[in-house]
Amino acid sequence: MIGRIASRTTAMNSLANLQASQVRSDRIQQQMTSGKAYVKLSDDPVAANDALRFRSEIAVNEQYGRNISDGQRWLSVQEGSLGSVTNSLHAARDALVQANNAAVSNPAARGALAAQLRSIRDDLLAQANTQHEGHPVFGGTTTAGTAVAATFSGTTGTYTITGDEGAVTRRVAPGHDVRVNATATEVFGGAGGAPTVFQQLDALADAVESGDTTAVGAGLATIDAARDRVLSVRGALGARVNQLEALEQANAVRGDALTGSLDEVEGVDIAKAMIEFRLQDTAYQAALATTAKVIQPTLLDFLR
Amino acid sequence: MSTFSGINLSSRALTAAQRAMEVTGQNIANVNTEGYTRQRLEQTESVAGGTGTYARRNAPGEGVEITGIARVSDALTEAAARQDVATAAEHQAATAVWTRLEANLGEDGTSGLSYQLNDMHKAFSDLGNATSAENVLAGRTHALARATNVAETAKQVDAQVQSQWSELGGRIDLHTADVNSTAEKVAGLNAAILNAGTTGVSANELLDQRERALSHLAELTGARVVGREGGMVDVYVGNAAVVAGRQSFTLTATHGTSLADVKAGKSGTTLTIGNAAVQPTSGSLKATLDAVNTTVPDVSKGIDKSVRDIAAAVNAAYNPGGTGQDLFTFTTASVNGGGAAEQIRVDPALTPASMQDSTPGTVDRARAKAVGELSTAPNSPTRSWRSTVVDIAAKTQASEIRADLASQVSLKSIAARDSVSGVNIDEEMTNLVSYQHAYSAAARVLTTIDQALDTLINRTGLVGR
Repeated sequence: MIGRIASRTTAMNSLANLQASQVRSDRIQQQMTSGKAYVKLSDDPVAANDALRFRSEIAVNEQYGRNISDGQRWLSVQEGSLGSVTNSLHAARDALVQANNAAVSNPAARGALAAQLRSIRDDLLAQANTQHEGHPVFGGTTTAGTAVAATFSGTTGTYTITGDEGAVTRRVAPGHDVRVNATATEVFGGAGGAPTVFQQLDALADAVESGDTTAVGAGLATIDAARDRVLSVRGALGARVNQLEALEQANAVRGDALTGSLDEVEGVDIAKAMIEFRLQDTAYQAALATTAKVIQPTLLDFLR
Repeated sequence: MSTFSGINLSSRALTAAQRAMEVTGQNIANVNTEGYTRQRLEQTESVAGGTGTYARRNAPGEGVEITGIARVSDALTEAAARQDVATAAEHQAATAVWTRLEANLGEDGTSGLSYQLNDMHKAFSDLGNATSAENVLAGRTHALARATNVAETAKQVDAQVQSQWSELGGRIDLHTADVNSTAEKVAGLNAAILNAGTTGVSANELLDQRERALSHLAELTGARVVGREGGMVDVYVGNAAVVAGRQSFTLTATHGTSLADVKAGKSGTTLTIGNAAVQPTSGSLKATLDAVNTTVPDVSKGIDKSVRDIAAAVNAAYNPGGTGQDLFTFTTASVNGGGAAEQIRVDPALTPASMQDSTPGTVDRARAKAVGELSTAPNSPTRSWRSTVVDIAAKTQASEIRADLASQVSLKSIAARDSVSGVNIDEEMTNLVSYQHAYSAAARVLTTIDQALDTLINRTGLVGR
């Protein structure tokens, strides 16, 4: 217990306490003006760790969102293309039904139907080589510029699938990839040496032209099979569109949650800070008033 | 008892009171002088002389005698105050080093290496989604640019740490020069105090000045003070004497060659007096020495390791199996012999045209995607860097808390020392009033005796007048 106080001690203590008070005021003021709960990392290392982690997670979540949008674009291009393919196949079927009518024995009419079939085949070829961002969308991961290459000698063509079976995937959630493409063989046939729909159409056009009614009759089943194949691919793609939509929602919700968490950790509660500031200000003023009272009078004032 | 012994008595009283008032004046004049120790007049009764045949009976003493001017101090509280000031200075210097290290990292959440890493992952993920030739080229250019940013930022952090290390070396030189000049001052004061002691002159002011110098030495090196004959002192830093009586010794600092060599354990900064190694126990010189030899190199090594981990993780994703071209490589030409953080760069052979971002033979962009998805992997670069940053932040906080505590303790010690030796104006005022009264009373005694003698001299033997 100190029994005696030197004059300097009072002054030194008052000064030290006023300084400490000012440091606190300054800190609160910095919090309020910057909106952040800590000025430098060492003020709160635990919160700093959380904040850095949240920022990185927010960046990852944003990337998933971009991947989802990109995937949706891919799917919508293919969806449009496959819609047009389905319509073409229906038109081909109608032409075949017409040609199957045994009463049509007019070579000119048959020639017209054959020409129609061939033009439908050209449409399908164009659809097969649809480009999305400069890349054939049914080409898998090929470096070639097309999914199906065709060379014609007269009216018959040789078709080579230049696309590959590679899957184009997009990472949409941690560890979760979604495949966003369909390959040419899946849509147009030709896997393992089986005839592509283009070859089938060529054969059918020749059959119509030459009046081979058996072949034309069998062709209906062929076209049906081709159409069913396209429809099943459309179904699969449609399911993935739904999946991506749901994921998009989830992604947005998660993004909001992460931003909220980051703000909680890093941001300052303005109301609380204001109250602290008032308290601190009052304490500081009280300290100033007391210091003034204590430091001034000495015996000098009272001696004659 | 002689006729005039009363006058002698009064004159002694007057002298004593006047001297006491001067001492009080000296105290009041120095009330704000730092490290001033208050002084007090010591007086004692004058014993009536005479023995044997000269012994007098029923005679009072011969007044007051001044035995000296005492310096009111307590060696224990002084030593305690010195030590606590030294500890406070040490922790403050250490905190300054840590704060600067933390600032060098440049991590305020919106910039710095963690932000650049996030950006890099984003750029590679976007490259992973690119399909057309135009998009791929743009994606590659962007990804390479971001990777270069990461390397540049790491290099910048390293450069800051290295410059801090050099600056600390300069500070050691300043402190060492300070120690040497203060030690010389102490030695000079020792000599003066010895002289004053032998000639009987009051050495109080010299003692105060020496105490201030010793306090400064303690603040720098945690010096230990041991008394010796004649009022002189020896000062020890660690186990080596920097002042021995009237002689002072020079402290020399030999610097480590470079931060890289210190990190490799090949060199270090040492202090010597003559040929003996000196290890300060406390004080800002110790803190700076520790920073140069341990703290900064360790942090730099941590940063290097983190950078190496980042490069390894990215290369493992970009170049699985290690057979092709790595993304991040390290130059062997190092300017300051620096570590990984100084040497990292994007391999210069990589251009947007030569970048291998897909499994060879395909355009699946799998490797670019792998680099982009690294941030969710267990060995992710962001996690490695984050733990380094938070580690430094936690150590800085611990250092701040220690410094705060130490400064509180030192304030208390100084207050304890001042309670013994500090000047209190009220006390001095009271003393002044007492001595003034004593003076007036002694003067009145003189007047009384003077009047009595006047009666004796001028009135005795005068009859009828």
